Amino acid sequence: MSWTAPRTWVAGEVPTAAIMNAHIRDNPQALIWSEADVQTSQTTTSTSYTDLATSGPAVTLTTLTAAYVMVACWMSNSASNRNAMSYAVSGATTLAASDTWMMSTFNYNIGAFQSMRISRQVALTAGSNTFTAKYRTTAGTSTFQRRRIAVLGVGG
Amino acid sequence: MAWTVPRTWVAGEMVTHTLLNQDVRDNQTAFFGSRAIVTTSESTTSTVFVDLATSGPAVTVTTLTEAFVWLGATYNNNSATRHAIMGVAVSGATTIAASADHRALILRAYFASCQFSSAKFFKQTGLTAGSNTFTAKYTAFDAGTAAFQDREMIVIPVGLL
Repeated sequence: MSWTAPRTWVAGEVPTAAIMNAHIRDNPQALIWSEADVQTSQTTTSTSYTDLATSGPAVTLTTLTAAYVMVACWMSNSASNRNAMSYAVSGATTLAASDTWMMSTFNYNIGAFQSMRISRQVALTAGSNTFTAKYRTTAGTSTFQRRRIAVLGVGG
Repeated sequence: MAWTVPRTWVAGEMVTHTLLNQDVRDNQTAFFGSRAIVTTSESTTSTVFVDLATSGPAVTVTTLTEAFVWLGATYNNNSATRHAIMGVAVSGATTIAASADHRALILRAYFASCQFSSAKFFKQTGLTAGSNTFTAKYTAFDAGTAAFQDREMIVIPVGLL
């Protein structure tokens, strides 16, 4: 169910079924997060954002111009380096993965972390948008598993 | 648009545009939350919570007595085993100081300058209903220089109280 900007109700109007469905039925359902996950442990040595052997996870939904996006995973590195998980947007919007909304950890040798980051993406073009997780390292080999992305397409 | 505790509709009542605007339009809009971000990388050596050279981010919203708060940043400390902490202070209708507890994003660096990007989500209770300003505050806590960038705050002023 897609989000519609909440309307201003007018004295004396007759609410139609279409209006009630959009604002009473669909909008509350749009408050439910859309999620996807990829559990598989995979690696990259790329220092620029890339897909892993199994791309994603990815979520496609209809948005206005803003959405909340959450990325989370368990990550480690072959040495003392940083691992990063971010997301790119495609479809109505073209937005490359960026460190501005990344989740990242710095691992000391074989140490590992489970973490998350939520940000509000305000650079969307209204329409069908696909949010795809992307990954990179600063050096060495970064490993990512239990990878999750969730999007709440409200606002904008 | 301010959040109102969702009303209980009564059989046979006249549903007015005022009720629909308050309980449908305004309450749904409240779920957008209010968001602010400061991308500039800045630092502090303070062992108590302070503003950075660019204060904030800060968000002002009308709340009841609780709100959901997200903090996010990329952060580090240049000294091994030292901290970088981003907290939130509340002012306006309510006065609550920042604190290094469940209301903060906390890093204790394993060694110098190891950097993390993550988020913290919590429910702020104990608010006085009205206009409240949530302002990010920062500290190196014990020593070293704590640096923060891409500092983001989101406040969603919804609750049942």
